Amino acid sequence: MTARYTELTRHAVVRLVPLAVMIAVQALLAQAYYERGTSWHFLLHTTFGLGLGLSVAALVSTRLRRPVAALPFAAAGEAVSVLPDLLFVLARVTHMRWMDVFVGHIRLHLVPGPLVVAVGLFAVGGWAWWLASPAARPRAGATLASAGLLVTVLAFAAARPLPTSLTQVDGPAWWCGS
Amino acid sequence: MVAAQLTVVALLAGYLLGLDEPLTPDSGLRQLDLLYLDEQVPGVTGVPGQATLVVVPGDLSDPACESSLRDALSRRGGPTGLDLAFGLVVLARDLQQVGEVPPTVQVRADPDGTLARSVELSPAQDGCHPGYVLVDPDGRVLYRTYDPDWDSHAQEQGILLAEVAR
Repeated sequence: MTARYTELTRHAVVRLVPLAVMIAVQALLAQAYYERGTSWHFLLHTTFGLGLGLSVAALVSTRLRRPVAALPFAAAGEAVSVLPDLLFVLARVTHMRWMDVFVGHIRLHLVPGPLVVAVGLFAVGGWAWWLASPAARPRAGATLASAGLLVTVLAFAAARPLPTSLTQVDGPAWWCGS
Repeated sequence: MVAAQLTVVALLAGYLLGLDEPLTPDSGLRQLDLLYLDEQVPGVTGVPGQATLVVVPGDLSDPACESSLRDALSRRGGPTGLDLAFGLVVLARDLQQVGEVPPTVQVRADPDGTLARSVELSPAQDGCHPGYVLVDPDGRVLYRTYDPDWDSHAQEQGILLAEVAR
């Protein structure tokens, strides 16, 4: 009984504590973005980073032929994705074009339907990881992850260039009808 | 795990569909925090020698817009307001609507909204959303964004203006 209880406790700590920490971090991040009027950026970069991490987890799981934990990959993907925003707030470093090295942090704003791409990758990445790891269907997981990543690459290829002149900036007409 | 993730995705999708603004606000440029411009815009200049925030404050007959401007002016130089090291210019369709301002703030007339339109922001009369541009000490526009809560984003503006001033 004691051994069983200990095992259950260990299982709960190992599985639930990281998940609770992850959820708490999301809440803190969401609050920080919200306070700065940038909830749109939160949705964009967190879902994209999580989706990327989960897709990689699916591919790694397939490659290793064994289940892998999703959380470390998802957390790593998110950390890289939001790093420029953390640098901005914590180190007062403005965004720069080279920050696309952080999984396309700048360019992601300019792909067709940025939020659709980001949330879509999140959904597909999570599904792919589930197929590859818990469901033990690595081929299906890898195929789905690859498809999601391919669509993402195509979306980035179709991104419009960052404006360099006000004449290239869409005016306010589309958002308020003036 | 998958059920939780699908729930999150469903909630996100519901949230996105319920937003009262486009899925790509300001064409993806809203508060991008990257100085992506570098051009002179006739009539849109900063305070000479200072990195300057030039605000298009929206329709000042709208209480919300008027309140935002008042808040921004009252916080200026304080811990939650724009640092006095940076210039602050307000483009106003009607100078009387702006009223009295501190001596550290410049108000410029833009009666027909030409200047606002020249920086691709909504002229004030239509009640639409405010925004701002950042101008370097040489008078070049380096940044433009739509920002409906511009009056409470002094930290962000200060970081960008410090870069503009370099």
